[in-house]
Amino acid sequence: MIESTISGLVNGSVYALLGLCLVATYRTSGVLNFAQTAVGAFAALTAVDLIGTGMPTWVAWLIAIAVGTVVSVLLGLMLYRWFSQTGARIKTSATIAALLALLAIGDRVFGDTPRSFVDPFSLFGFTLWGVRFTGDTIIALGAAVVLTIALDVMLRRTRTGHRLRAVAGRPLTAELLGLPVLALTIIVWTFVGVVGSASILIIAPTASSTFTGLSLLVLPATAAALFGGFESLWLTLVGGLLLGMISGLTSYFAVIAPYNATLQLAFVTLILIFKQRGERWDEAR
Amino acid sequence: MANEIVLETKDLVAGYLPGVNILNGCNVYVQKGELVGIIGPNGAGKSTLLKAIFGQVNIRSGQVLLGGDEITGLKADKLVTKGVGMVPQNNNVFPSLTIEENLEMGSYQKPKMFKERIDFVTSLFPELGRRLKQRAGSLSGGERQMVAMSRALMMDPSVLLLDEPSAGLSPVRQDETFINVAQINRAGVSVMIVEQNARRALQICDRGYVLDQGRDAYSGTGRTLMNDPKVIELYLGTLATDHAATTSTPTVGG
Ligand SMILES: Nc1ncnc2c1ncn2[C@@H]1O[C@H](COP(=O)(O)OP(=O)(O)OP(=O)(O)O)[C@@H](O)[C@H]1O
Ligand SMILES: [Mg+2]
Repeated sequence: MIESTISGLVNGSVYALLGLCLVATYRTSGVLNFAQTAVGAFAALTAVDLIGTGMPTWVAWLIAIAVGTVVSVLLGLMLYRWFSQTGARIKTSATIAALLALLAIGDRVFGDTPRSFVDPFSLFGFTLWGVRFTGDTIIALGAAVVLTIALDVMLRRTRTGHRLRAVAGRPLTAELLGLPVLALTIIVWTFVGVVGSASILIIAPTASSTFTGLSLLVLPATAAALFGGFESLWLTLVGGLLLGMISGLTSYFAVIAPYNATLQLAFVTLILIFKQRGERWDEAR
Repeated sequence: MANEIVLETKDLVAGYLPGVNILNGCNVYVQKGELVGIIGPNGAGKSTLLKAIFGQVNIRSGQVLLGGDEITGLKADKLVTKGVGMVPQNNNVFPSLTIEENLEMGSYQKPKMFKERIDFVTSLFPELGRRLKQRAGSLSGGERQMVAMSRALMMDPSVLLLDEPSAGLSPVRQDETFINVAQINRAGVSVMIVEQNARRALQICDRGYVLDQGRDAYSGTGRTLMNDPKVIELYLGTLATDHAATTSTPTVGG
């Protein structure tokens, strides 16, 4: 049982990573990017198909992350070009449209046959108190913690962080001060492109192995981000890990295991109910 | 006050959509140290004039000159370094940033000046200095306006463009805002201010323009315009009732 809970840590860390990307995007460009995991799914399936042609894993991963990043930047530029004058709601709706478009394109390009993903990190690991920690647990958890710290310091303490938050809140006003809005936009979407793609690559072996399945990881990611109120990076980390461990634990009990996805939705709903007072969504607009 | 012209538009024609001109040959200027008011009915093109000067609207013909140099159509980042500052009509502070961080955004192009400029701004508005760590999103409308104007002052502009700083404020806050604007002007910054609240604006302005259908229909000192029968009839007339409504109610009949 502990074993299952700990094994949920990999997924939890990845939920946290994806959630952190969502929060970072939201705080730096004012967009709740529902298409983020679909972009990552694009990268992941590119990687599998490249590895299938006999390409070395690490080369395939690099190319895949590059592909994911390009898609991410294109999406960011589209939002910048066409929706920079609109509010958060319209931009967010636009990302839902982008998600649907990516799902359609993904279906054409990759089909819906499940892939088997090689997991380069599960080969190493160690055993502590009778529980095995695999390489991917360590990498995912480490990455989630490092990313949380890095983002936190960057957004609160650095000039670039302040500028990004300024642009997110009031792009037009930022432009009137001469802030390089376009450059900052590209930085944000490149960053979430890299981290989002890498996260999906890490989770792909243990999660769903179709394009649609991976794209829908946006659900637990949103749950983690909601846990942090789309503001707190640390609470997003905690939310992601909790969610992962809960699903790990429930997968141990055969009766409720099939309802795992429903459980995530229940988690989101519960958080929403508790967060009602906060009204984070529009306060910062 | 030397009669040196800081900012000037010459026969400015500009608009948003192809074939539709909003400004139809606009000639206005601001002299060094002057406080110039732009008034006019809704939709006259007042905001558009400021936006055109600030490179936010397509200019079809005419010129914008800054100290005699042509700056027509230059973008915000260039204008800010050349010493033009602008505070837009809406959404003018960054709500998730503190007051201090908001000011930091103002000195984006010259971070080295931050210390010196923040001293200047907080000496002008001591209240800001006491609340630097407060989130701008938690400020009142008048306070936000103060932050936005201060932020524009961070680049040490020679001319400041203000779009309806008193809009949406209570009468007391409006007065405070006008006092703030006058104070900025007294500190040596030339100001061009667009105002809905024509009477009050003309009271603090050295000179003013009445904009109508994208043209500078009338101009003169604040006092001249306030007493010009045509201006009163065409424009201040509506405001006279406005004025009566806001000032007379409590005491009438006493
Ligand atoms: N972004 C835009 N695109 C197209 N037309 C616009 C845009 N902004 C303003 N206009 C039009 O330009 C005209 C002048 O608008 P402007 O905002 O300059 O008026 P104003 O004098 O500032 O009015 P107000 O006192 O209401 O602020 C209006 O007819 C308006 O419909
Ligand atoms: Mg206006």
